[in-house]
Amino acid sequence: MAEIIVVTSGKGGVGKTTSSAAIGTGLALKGFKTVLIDFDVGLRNLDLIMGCERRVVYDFVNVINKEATLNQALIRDKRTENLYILPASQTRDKDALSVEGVETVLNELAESFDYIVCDSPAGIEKGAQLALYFADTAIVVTNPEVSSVRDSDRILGVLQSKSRKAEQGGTVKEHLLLTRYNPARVDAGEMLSVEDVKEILAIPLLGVVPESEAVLKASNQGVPVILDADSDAGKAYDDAIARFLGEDREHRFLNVERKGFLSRVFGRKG
Amino acid sequence: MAQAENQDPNALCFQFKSTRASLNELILTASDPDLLAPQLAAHAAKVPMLFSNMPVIVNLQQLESTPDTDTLNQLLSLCRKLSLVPVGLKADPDTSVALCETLHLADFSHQRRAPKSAPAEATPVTPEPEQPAPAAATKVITTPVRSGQQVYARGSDLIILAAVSAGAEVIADGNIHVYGPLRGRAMAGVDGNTDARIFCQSMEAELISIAGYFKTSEDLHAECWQQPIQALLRGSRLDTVPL
Repeated sequence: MAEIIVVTSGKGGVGKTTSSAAIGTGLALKGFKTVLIDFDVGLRNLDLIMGCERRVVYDFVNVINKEATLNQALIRDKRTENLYILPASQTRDKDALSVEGVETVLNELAESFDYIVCDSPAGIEKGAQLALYFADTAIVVTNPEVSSVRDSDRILGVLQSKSRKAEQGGTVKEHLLLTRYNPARVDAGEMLSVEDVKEILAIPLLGVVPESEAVLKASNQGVPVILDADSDAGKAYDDAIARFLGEDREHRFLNVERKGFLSRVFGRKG
Repeated sequence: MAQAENQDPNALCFQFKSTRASLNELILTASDPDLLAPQLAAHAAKVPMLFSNMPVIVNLQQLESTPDTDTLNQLLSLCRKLSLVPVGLKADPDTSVALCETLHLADFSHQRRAPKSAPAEATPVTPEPEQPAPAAATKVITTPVRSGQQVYARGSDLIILAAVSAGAEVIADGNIHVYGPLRGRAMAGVDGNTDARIFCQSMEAELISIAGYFKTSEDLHAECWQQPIQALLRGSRLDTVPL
């Protein structure tokens, strides 16, 4: 039976799709058969980040409407074995999704996959609620910034009241993934610290992904950043996956790295 | 065994027990249904949670004269339409017995009044010897109350063992205890109980209120921010006291 993971945040632009791509790829790299579903119907992005936009023929909505089979719509990732992508429709909107339709697709996927990673749209409306409804586990992506933290708090409330698990009296497992973290700005008091965010949200920390040029580069090239193994963001996602699978790894990138040449020179003078 | 007679087929199938439930009074100062309807509806829209099937005693004692039965029936159906449940009347004690009989409501008119007439007629059921009334079950919340969530403890205290996030609301007719940080809004004594208090481990609230008297985070910042405090009413002033 597959584990259904929703990557969600409430707020837009915090790195849900980047994180979904990295998490899906990371799980597949560890040998788990993984499918990434883009729930952001109407604003198809995941295929771009995964670099498979030219191979999209059928999409999630086609499968729900039975205009295509799941096998026709699933795109096999060319770089990573065991990884498949179910793209969103660009021409439809969230109303094209229904609880029954999503359930049928997820049940069919659950037969052959180990992990189903649902990339949630922003907001707390229908699209986001459907993406999280069937989830066993939630990875809440948050930026170290007050409005993002507030929205994550809101989505955590939705998770524990409107998901199927909650309706059946259970709880959805929660993980915090802090992205765009900049230790220098935290030190300068311009950004919330990991501790601040953990204090407010009170859920276990899965990982801290530093603000990194590698992320933008990876997105534009259509390569999940986790495959850029030399980059700090890539390493951070790799750590997060290891922790997700139960490994105990220390958090990195929480403090300002050694000072650069210029600041060392000026630091000595001052 | 002293209690063994419960098993006896000839045993009594019911029991009278004194109980205490929290009741609210709807005190009318005008009896014209047309005047009352829009005002009550507006109030219901503001605090829908209060109105959801809340039992009320309709108090007519502030009116100049007791309205006729037709008007009263109109008033009662207006209440029911707004999902209030009228369970009794407080009216002029001289006429209330007959009035309550026609309207099939309980008569609360004799309460608190000096026993002018013998109270025997008002209580057909022999009350059991006074026992300590069981307190309404306190509502206990063990998980964080997240932004956008609302928790209401009707007729009882509210205990929260986790954080109340900014943008969340915790509401109780009784006291509120918060053992995590209180960052949202807390409203105690919302049914008008001015003795209600708010206790918290770390005061970081957006707003606290007791029986309608409130303080916003601006005031709280200056007084007791992130401190363990209790809030209580002194007259019409909402005070915060360190714990």
